[in-house]
Amino acid sequence: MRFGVVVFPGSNCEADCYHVINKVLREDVEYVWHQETYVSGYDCLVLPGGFSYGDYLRCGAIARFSPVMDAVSSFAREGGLVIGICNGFQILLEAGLLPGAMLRNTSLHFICRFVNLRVENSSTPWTNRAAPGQVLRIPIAHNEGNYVVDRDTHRRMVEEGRIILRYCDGEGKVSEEANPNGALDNIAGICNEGFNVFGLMPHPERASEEILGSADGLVIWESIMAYHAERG
Amino acid sequence: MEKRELIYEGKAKRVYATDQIGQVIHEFKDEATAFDGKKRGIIEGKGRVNAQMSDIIFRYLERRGIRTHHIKLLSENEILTWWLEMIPVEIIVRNYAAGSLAKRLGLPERTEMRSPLVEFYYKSDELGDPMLSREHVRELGLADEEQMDEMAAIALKVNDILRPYFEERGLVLADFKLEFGLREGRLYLGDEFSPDVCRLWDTETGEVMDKDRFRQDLGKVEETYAEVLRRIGEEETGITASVFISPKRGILDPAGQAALGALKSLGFDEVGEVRIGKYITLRLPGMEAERVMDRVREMCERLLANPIIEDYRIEIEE
Ligand SMILES: Nc1ncnc2c1ncn2[C@@H]1O[C@H](COP(=O)(O)OP(=O)(O)O)[C@@H](O)[C@H]1O
Ligand SMILES: [Mg+2]
Repeated sequence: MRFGVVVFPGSNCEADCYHVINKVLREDVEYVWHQETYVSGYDCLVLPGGFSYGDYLRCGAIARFSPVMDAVSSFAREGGLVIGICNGFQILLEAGLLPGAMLRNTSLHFICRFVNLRVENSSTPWTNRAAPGQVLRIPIAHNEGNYVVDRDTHRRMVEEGRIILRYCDGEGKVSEEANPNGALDNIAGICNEGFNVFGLMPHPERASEEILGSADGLVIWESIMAYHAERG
Repeated sequence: MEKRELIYEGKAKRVYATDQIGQVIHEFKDEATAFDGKKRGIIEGKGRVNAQMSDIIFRYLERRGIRTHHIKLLSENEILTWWLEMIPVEIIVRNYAAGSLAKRLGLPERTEMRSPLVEFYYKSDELGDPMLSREHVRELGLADEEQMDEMAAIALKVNDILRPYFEERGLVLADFKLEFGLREGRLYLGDEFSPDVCRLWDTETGEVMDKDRFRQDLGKVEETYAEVLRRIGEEETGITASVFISPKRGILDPAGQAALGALKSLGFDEVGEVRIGKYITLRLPGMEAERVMDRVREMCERLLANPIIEDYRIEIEE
């Protein structure tokens, strides 16, 4: 399987993603530069975390107009797998590849810590290796992760099972206390209608080796590989 | 636009032919000379400053009805202009006595003139640019009476335009030199307008802000040229649009809530709501007023605001 990790000026998690794919998953991976206008030969594109373009104006607002985003959009339109992590998620929102927007965390703090996430739908390309309702321990690190979306879209996303991850406590209970940033409905990760585009605030690449305190992130990476293997 | 052969190399500029008939490129140099070439040196960045300043000043004069040779700035130190058949007379306008005039008439430096003086000098390096009376100009056949009158009148008009212009930018325009030429039988203002060819003093401190820093070894020469350009380059006239972006009603505004809490704890109980947004100003030089609103709205929709979470309001100011 071949991954492409898209690098914007100000991305800072691309090397972590590259490392996990290359050294832990032992899959092919390449960096894709933001100036690229054409991407091909990839099975999955990763938009990593960071502070693309300094997060000026709004997180992801400027990155979404980089040349590579047209290519990412057409790749996604043709059913290609696209995962946006943290700032990558924010870019997907700004680009309209996923619905909604991010506000500042209600605490106004940059939050960097492990959180618990309940897998709400385990039959997606991103979560098929998880048990229904499984709790994953993965860190977040962001200032703008307070997800909002209009009510109708939210209802539709719930009905269609497009809310993939929600913040919960260690027992899998979704509650106000378990919500780190004020996100609507404790939403931590969502999919588009086709389930081929996935955005999430937590960083699975930071929790893919036991030595880092958790390897739960592997559930997501291995789901992608399993989905790809099955699809052929 | 293609640069062709060098036509003339002077002390401050090189003039090149182009592939367009009647148009020339002036390449501004960093080299500086003073006292008829007796003092020489390099002022790092001068070529860039003088070209860009000439571009700004000539465009400003054009907008106010002065016919100039200026076409456009081509690069950071090159200007494209009409080719003129130059009249070898330098026209100097003085608002204050300084340099040679102060010495010649025994006036203390910086004496303000009762009204602006116009003087003519013969542009001749061999003769050391001697001062000319109108009779001298006629005698040498450099220009006819009508042209003399016209050059003097334009020079005074330029002074009327530029004195307040520099004043607004914190600079006193003490004196300046102009050169004119002919194109299709008409008089055009040519050459350059830069700290090389005028005297500028800081309004507040009186500090020398022109080539006298080089002539008199006052130091900070490069910095001064850059500062003059900064002052005049900063705000060119044009339309300014202000965009106010605020969190949409019904959308939580964490920063606004925090500020509301802080205000309440300070005893400002009258505050019911605080919403914190962004304020963006855009300068749109050379844009027609009718189009501005539509364009700025488009900018808001596409980039400046996120309509999912933000509202925006636009104010236009000329
Ligand atoms: N539009 C123009 N067309 C032709 N010559 C020009 C034009 N504007 C200025 N000049 C002349 O080009 C020369 C510019 O170079 P410069 O270094 O200032 O020369 P100088 O040392 O003779 O003053 C001057 O001689 C000036 O008179
Ligand atoms: Mg000259």
